[in-house]
Amino acid sequence: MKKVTGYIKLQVPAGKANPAPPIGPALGQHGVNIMEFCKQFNARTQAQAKDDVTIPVVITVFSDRSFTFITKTPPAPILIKKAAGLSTQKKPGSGSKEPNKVKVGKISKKQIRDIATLKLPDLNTTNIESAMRTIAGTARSMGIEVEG
Amino acid sequence: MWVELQIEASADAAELLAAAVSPLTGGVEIRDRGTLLSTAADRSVVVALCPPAEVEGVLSEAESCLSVARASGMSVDPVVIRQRAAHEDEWRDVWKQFFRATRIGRRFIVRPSWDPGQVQDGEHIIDLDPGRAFGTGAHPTTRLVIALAERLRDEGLPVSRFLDLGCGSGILAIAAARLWPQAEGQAVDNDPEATGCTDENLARNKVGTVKVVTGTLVEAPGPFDLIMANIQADVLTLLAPDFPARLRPGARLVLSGLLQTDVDALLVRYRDVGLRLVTRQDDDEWAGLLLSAG
Repeated sequence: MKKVTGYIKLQVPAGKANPAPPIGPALGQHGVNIMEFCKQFNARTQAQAKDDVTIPVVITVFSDRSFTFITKTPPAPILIKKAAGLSTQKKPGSGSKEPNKVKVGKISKKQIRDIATLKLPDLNTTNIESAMRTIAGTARSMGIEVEG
Repeated sequence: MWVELQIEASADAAELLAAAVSPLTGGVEIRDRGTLLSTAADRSVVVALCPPAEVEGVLSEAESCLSVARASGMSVDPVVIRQRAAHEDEWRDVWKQFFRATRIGRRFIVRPSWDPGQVQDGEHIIDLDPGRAFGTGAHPTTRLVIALAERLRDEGLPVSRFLDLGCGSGILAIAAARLWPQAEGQAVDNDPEATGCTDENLARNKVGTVKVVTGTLVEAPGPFDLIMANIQADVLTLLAPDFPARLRPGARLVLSGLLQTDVDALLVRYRDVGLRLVTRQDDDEWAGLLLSAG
């Protein structure tokens, strides 16, 4: 049985993996075949590519430098931004200049529930109410007002 | 030249930081106490690389994100930002040292310049250094095409013209040229990096019968006796109507880059355009299809 050397965590756009950063540096330094990861990742995430979504991926690296990986649901902050109507392709420096006072957007309870339902497989709970509290907390920490 | 930014903050802040920085840098790596390059407990490092001119914008976005998180009561500090110049050579070549001569199919050995391997009598050698383009022979999708091409050679398929569509490193064009040395080949890829790589590998393997074109299937009007397309399901689905006119009667089409879960839907599409499944081979989670034009 192959020994697990460790894990690499990345967030990359669905269907658009290529040898450039962050994939090249993150995998290359550990001896993982970059092009083959890209091929597999793009094949598995091709259906989500049209949604222009970022996919978290956890790569397991074995002692012979072979690898496997699992993909997860899109990051909660990205889903929250989309739900609040904020650009997920933000230009640099466009954040709130007065984060204590200025809320950058709003999100409804229903949207929180939708995101919590989608994220449930990746959260440390099976309870939707608990998942909603987690998502709402993430939204607040982004300066987004949670309605209701 | 790149600048590598390492933004270290509390573990709670990692998800927010990653989401803030990732759209600007085409993705990020996240390090925590469970990753190969690990951090202290309750700490995380978001690693992003960008051109030097974009560093200020990325850091501004990260600072803004952390300020908002702080204001909401999240514990993010202490925040430590490290940056260093990074060059592609650091990662482009390091992993290659683990690549060794590999047997593919029944008759091929693919070997990098640093490992001559042990070649048996009658084996076809492909000299190829893994690198800029896909196709080292280690991946199941490449192995499936080569296995199916060997089968066609054994069955005596006459091939005077072949096409390697989505040629990547050019490994399949070289393999076909080894199996049908009298045939004229064409290798096409829409990525100039890939066609450059194919050109180099053809020259290194002394294959002079393959023409390399940067472009799409449009640049390969055919007709061909054999087309090999190791791409991926969504692209191959779109291309289905374009293949029949490029296949001579009795010609074969080898499709790869398909997950097994892609096959049923894809086959419906290919049946609709008049191509018939001859055989299917599976390797790990991948499938290779051999189709006939008549």
